[in-house]
Amino acid sequence: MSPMVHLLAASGGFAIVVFGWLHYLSLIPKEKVPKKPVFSLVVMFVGSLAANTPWIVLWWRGGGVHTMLLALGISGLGLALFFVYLLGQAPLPDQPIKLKIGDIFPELEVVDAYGQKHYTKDWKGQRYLFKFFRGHW
Amino acid sequence: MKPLFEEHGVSVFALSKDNQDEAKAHKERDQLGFVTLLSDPKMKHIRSFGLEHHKALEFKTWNVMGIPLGVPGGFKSMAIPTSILVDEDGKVRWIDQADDYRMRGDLQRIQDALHNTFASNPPRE
Repeated sequence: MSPMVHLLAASGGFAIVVFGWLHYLSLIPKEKVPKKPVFSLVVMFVGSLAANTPWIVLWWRGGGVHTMLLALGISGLGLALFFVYLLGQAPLPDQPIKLKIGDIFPELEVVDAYGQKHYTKDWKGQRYLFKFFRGHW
Repeated sequence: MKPLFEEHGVSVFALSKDNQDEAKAHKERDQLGFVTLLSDPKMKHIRSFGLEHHKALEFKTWNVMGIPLGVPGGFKSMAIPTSILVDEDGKVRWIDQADDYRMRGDLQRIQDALHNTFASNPPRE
């Protein structure tokens, strides 16, 4: 096979990996990310296989491997593996709250939106709702 | 919302990981004049209560050539939405952790809790 064919195959493989990334990332703002992204994983696998086959074949046959082929293969594989790593990042489970009904609310020093400090021990004598919320995200 | 809390003499404090600027913007945007918004950007108090919710990855939306893409923005945590009602003796009377990220969403549960806790005991003048 001509060097051009090898280069096309490796480039195509790299492009497939990049397409896989862009496709997955485009699902995130639309909140359409599948729990089991089988399609994305298949695309990563096919892309990295295509990107790496040319230089592996050439090397196996004892021929010289152009740096460009190696670069496309390794970076394609790297991108695919990084994708799999990110998918594997599972969140830690939530703990139960460290407070129960009947407890005395802890003494805290807190800061408000204007930088002013407040001390919860000073709130004795008043009723209050203390709400934790997620905030800006 | 404000009359509900005034009726039972209850102040409202709301804490999140927002920094002070974000908290101030939230207060003004949602007209939370009667709420004291508290800022805990290092999540010190959130963690001390065991209310840290870990997210695997936080994504920001970037527009790349007109296409919105979710770009990894780091591993961030946030507070599990929790309401704690405390009486004048500093005692915890009600805790609620129903999953709701907007303050107004759980108003009915708060209203019921205020009524159940304080209806037979009007606020001291």
